[in-house]
Formats: sequence, structure tokens, C-alpha cells
Amino acid sequence: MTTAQFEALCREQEAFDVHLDDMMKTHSGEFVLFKDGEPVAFFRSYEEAYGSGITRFGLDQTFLVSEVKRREPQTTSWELGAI
Amino acid sequence: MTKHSDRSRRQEPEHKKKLAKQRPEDRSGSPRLSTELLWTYGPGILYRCGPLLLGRWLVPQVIADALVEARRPVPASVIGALLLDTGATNTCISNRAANDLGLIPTRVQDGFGAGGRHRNPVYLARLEMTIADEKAQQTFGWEQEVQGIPDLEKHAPGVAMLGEERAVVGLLGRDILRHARFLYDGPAGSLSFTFEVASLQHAPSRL
Repeated sequence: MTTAQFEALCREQEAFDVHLDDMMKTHSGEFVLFKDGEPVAFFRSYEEAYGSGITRFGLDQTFLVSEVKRREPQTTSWELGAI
Repeated sequence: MTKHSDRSRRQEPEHKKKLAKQRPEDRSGSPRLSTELLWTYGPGILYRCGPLLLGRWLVPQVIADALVEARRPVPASVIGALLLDTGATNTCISNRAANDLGLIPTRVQDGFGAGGRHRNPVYLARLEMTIADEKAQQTFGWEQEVQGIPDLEKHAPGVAMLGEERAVVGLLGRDILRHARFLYDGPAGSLSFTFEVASLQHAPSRL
């Protein structure tokens, strides 16, 4: 993953976050394919959404796939060595 | 570090007895626990490196299929050490392993670690772990979203496993550990680990 790809994905993520309230009203629990700041299509499974992204945009393009839901930050403690 | 089932180890009989008590049986009478894996690292290595298991990252099936269709090579799997991290909500992959597999992230996840808040890429990836002793071998696989961790191999020391130096390529988080039982034996420098098969079948890890 290049820096440019990560920055592009961050922009897609920001657009997803902006659209989330609207998408939650009608597509909660579905999986969205997101590209160029807009939802492209909604699917019943992650695999369908991801497969559609590859078919539409190819293997080397950046696109966002996510369940339509609110997420909390995740924790990792590996730097502390805690288990 | 060696993998073995040392029957003569002083504390093992009690532990074995305990596991046997906990082992549920299904209606057919077959055990629901996987083979028990026992790694003996030595107290110093277990302290320095943490509890590590061998794992293998692969490209997900949807990517493998697309690569084959495009007549492009499917990257070889990345084998390395997985650090058991009960502080991690979900299983994570090192960004280096993800890059070696040619994975492209599909979203961004906010995370909290000891270094504070950070934004990490999330990949779809396949993880396989083989639990084996001298009598039996079982391989478990998950294909799911995993959070990428930058520079994991630089901060988490690798270790020699089965005669080869292995870098840390991921964190085994609670999404997978909820199906496992393990005993961290600091004084003996060992880790015993089993998956509860019934738990895996009842509530597999989700995306």
C-alpha cells in the first residue's frame, strides 16, 4: 500500500462517515461499496460488495467496502506487551 | 523455542487434568476441543517476546480468484508469529505482511494502542493456524477484516520457531481468542493452547 493509496482511502472513509447517517436510515446492516466519495451500491454480504468492487474497478484501485454501521475505536495493547 | 508435549513436565499433569475436566463432549461423543498445542519458550523468551503462535496469512479467496482470472500470480503465503493479545479487540495483521501479500485496504479504522489514537488500514485477509502435536494436526482458517499495524515487526521481537527465525506478523485478538483456552505458564516459560471447536462452529468470527 502506498501513501497515496492510504490517503485516497482516508478520503473515502471521511466521505463514508459524512454519508453514514443517511445510509443508516435505509441500509443499516448492509454492505456498501464506496468510490469517489459516493456510495456505488449496497449488498447483503461483504464478499458480494468486495467482489463487485474488483469487477467494477479492478485489482489495483482503491475503493471502500464497509458494513453500514457505527464503529467504536478498537484497542490494541501489543506495545505494552499486555495479555 | 520448541513445540512439544513433554509428559514429564512437573506442572503438566495437573493442567492436563484441568483441561480434561473442562472438555465438553457433543452428542456423538467426539471431543469439542482441538488438539492441545504446547510451546515451551523458556521463561526469558516468554517474558521478552510474549506468547507467540505460528500462523499463516494468505490473500482472500475473492482476490486469489481475480488474480487467476487476470493471469497474474497469486502471492505466496506469509508465515510468521502471532502475538496473543487479549487487549486487542480484533485480530490484526502487520502492514508489512499485508504489503507482501499485495493487499489493498478497504477501509480505515480508528484504534487505540499504547502510543495513543491512530488511524489504521483495514484489509480483507485469510489467516490459517495449525494446531498439532505428535499424534494429530488440525488447521483452522478465518477470512475476515483485519486491522493493519504499522512497524509491528520492529517493535515486537520475533523468535525462532520450528528451527526458523519468525517475525511477528500479527496480533491474535479477542475475536479469535474467544474460541480458545490457553494457559500462560510464566515460571515454566510455556504456553498451552486449544481451540474449542464447538465455539468456532456456534459463533464463527464475523467481518
